[in-house]
Amino acid sequence: MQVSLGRAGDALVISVIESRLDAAVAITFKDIVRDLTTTEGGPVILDLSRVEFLDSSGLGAIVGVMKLLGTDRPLEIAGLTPSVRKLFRLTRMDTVFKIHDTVPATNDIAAAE
Amino acid sequence: MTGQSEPHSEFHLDCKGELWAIRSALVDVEMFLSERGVTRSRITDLCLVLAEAMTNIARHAYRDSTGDISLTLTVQDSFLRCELTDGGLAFDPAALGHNAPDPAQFREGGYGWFIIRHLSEGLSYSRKNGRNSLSFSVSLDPVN
Repeated sequence: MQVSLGRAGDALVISVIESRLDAAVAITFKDIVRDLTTTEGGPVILDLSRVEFLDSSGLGAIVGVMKLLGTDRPLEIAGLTPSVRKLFRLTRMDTVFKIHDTVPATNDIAAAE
Repeated sequence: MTGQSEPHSEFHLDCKGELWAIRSALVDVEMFLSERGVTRSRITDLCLVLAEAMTNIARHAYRDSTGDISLTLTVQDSFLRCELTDGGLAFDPAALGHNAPDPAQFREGGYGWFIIRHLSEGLSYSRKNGRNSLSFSVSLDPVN
């Protein structure tokens, strides 16, 4: 499970460098994102542009991350591929998350594994 | 009868009822379907249904034990028929997943059976010889 970090204005952009965000990696994903978001403030944008397959466990982990961040640090989603967008629509999660059509340009900070 | 219709093509695999083995099995399923010209959106639907059903087997049917999952896919002219069997605990799918969780509740689980029901057709469950058997179909896009 690999992610990379960038900054876009006051937002932290976390890019998932995996083609699958599924049950096998859901817990690890949640742990990694929690560890990366302990100090800084501002919104967090989750870049899913490389994710071709998301299942309900992966979706549940995204929801879990949103809850961990709390209301002061909104979690937004960017770069939905067609299959990922379909699951967001099916579960109506597209109605409760702010979704960016494109991933904002970032200054890279680091990569984490 | 002209005998011109394509023979049905069948795919079978057995994997451990464990999350990484399931991922690997789904990658094989994707490759098999892709080679047979099944469209990307149908592959995604089928693999999502299989992921949800197989994850349930690993987490629930095999929650007290370990065992295998057996998957058979039959590609027919206009649909794919799937059967999953496992030797885990019995369950009652009729009681599960008729409604999607309210998105405003931000639930972390409870979507699996809703997804299975929404993206599959002809869902049926039986218990035979100590094994669960779950069958369903996914329609294929018409080929020109």
